[in-house]
Amino acid sequence: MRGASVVLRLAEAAYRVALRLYPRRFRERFGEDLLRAFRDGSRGVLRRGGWRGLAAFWSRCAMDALVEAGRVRWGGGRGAGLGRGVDGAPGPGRREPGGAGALDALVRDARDAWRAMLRRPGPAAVAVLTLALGVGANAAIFSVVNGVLLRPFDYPEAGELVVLQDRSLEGGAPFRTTGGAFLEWRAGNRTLDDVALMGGWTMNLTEPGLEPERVTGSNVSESFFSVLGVEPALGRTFRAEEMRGGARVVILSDALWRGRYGADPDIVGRALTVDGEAWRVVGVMPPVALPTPLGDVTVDPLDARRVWVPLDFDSEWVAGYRSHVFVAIGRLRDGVTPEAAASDIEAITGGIRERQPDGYARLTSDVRPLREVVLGDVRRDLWILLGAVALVLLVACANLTNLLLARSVERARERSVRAALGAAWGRLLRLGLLEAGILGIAGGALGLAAAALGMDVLVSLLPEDLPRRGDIHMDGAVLAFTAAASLVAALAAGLVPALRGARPATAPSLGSGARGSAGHRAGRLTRGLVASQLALACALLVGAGLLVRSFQALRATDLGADTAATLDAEILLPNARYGTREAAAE
Amino acid sequence: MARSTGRQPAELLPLKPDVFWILAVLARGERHGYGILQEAERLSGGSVLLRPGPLYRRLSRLLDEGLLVEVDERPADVEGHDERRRYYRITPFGARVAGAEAERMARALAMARDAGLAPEER
Repeated sequence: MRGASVVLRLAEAAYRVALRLYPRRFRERFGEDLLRAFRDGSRGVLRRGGWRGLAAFWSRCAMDALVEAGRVRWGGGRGAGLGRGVDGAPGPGRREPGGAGALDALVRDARDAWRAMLRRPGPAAVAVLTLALGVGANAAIFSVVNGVLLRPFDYPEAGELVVLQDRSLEGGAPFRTTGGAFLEWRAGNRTLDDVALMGGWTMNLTEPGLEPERVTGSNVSESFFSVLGVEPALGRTFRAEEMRGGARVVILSDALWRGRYGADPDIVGRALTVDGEAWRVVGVMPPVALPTPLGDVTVDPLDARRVWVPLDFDSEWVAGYRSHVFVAIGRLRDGVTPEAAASDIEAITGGIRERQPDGYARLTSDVRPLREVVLGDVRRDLWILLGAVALVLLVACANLTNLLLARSVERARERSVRAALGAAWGRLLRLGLLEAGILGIAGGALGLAAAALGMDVLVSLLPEDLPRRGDIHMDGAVLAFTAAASLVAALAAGLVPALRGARPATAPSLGSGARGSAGHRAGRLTRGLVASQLALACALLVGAGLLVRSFQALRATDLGADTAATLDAEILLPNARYGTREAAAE
Repeated sequence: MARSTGRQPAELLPLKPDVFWILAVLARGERHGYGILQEAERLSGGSVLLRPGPLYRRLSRLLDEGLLVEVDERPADVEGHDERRRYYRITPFGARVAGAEAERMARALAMARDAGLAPEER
């Protein structure tokens, strides 16, 4: 068979690689012999036992290579099978550590567990797949929860940041505020370190030689970057004097600088063509998720192409009390709560109400932590989602327990023999737990791989306006979570079967295959597990229904911004021309 | 050449079953590694199945302790030998160690018979 010899040759090449685990001296001495033995053994086993036998043989050889290489490198005297810890000088290239006996025992147990699973690969494969499903789903959803909720914002002390907007006195969702209110808040507050203002507009970049590009820009007060606590990567931020008279200076985002201007090191001072006019670059921001100028109050993904330009407080439209198109962001003073700041700001807005009956007749202000405004209801929905996949993992665990229990009943006889020969209770328990642990590691690794592959698909299914959607990926936290989840799941599932397996043998088990009372007890436990799995599955179905509804709610959630105000911002004209068309914009 | 470690056979007892089998097989004549596996299986009626991985590690240790030596000549009675294979031969010291282990097992067997644990010799 041509095909067979190709496979055999590939296996040989793989075994040759596995042999590199041995120390070089040992390899030079015995490498060729080991390879030959592998080759001859493979042919013999294939002839006698077919491909199944060959698979078992190969996995034994792989396990041996791993274990024996370790023993050659570090095994104590006992490992060599000569006497009780040889006192002679160690052979060349070998060390004699103190804990050699314990390591040997653990390795032996692990190998026994591994071999036990190989004898019946079917159930083990089902267990691994079940666990992989549960763990993988959890890893994927946790990535989302981590990326959206748990990951801190990119600003220092982000917990001190609050968003200031306007709100109707009767209640309801907050909406954008005016420049006039901002100026009074900034001047009159006693609870904030500083406040910044942000608006948005869309513009066209049309430098000669480059593709025209439509970009969403942000007009900001000079305090914007300092309130957030972000330093520019290149150049500087805006100065106070640039906030008047329409200074044509611009700051670029990192993504725009790299994507459009090729990370030009001399970008500062360069002229850009914005809406047909020349503007000068004074700075570039580092890759940080800064607030989004238009639409809901959220933060940009890291690859957002943005520009920032100064607000012109000389303009009545900017500094007045009628254009509700801006969002203010403030930083609380040390020790001040958002509620205290809210009262403070509301008091100022009360004054505005009296003096500006046209604009602010029935309005007050709304001050909330940035986190709450950005994440809003999404928090609750995501935790519910995580709860649902945790239920999935629970079902997988129940499944796994059932499986391990069935196997433990099957091997009752084998265990009785061990126990009769003096195996300690502790060792039998360890064997059971090791088997569960190996399944856990295998299931976890598989689940993680599946989640990594499916991550892109999952993110594309998430609602478009999910905050921080663009920066969801699997990182160290997800890895740690997955490892912990799979080990805990496997050990929890394996504990009861392992405990049952370690119990002292009853005489009937040593007989000719009688199951006796052990079988009855196992039957009750199995039925109980099946019942609990059914119950969990029902709970899961109900949960899934709730989940779908939450997802729909997620898509439709009004995260706080008044869409009418957003529309106004969209049709507003570029700064350069508002002077002439200001009346039309009103 | 065998290294003389100046040790007594008793210091190396008890032997692991695999090790005893390796010595027992080589006591009947020189063999190469894989041949040891095959002969052990044959002599034990299929109940002793040594595996290459542990085998070579044990051979390495037995060589270091002086119970075996490597041989360059090819024994005349082996069929289908491969010139590139390494052959192993038991040393006098190795024979004494194996003998001591056999005596130990014989003593254990005798005690078991006295206690009625083992069947009498047929």
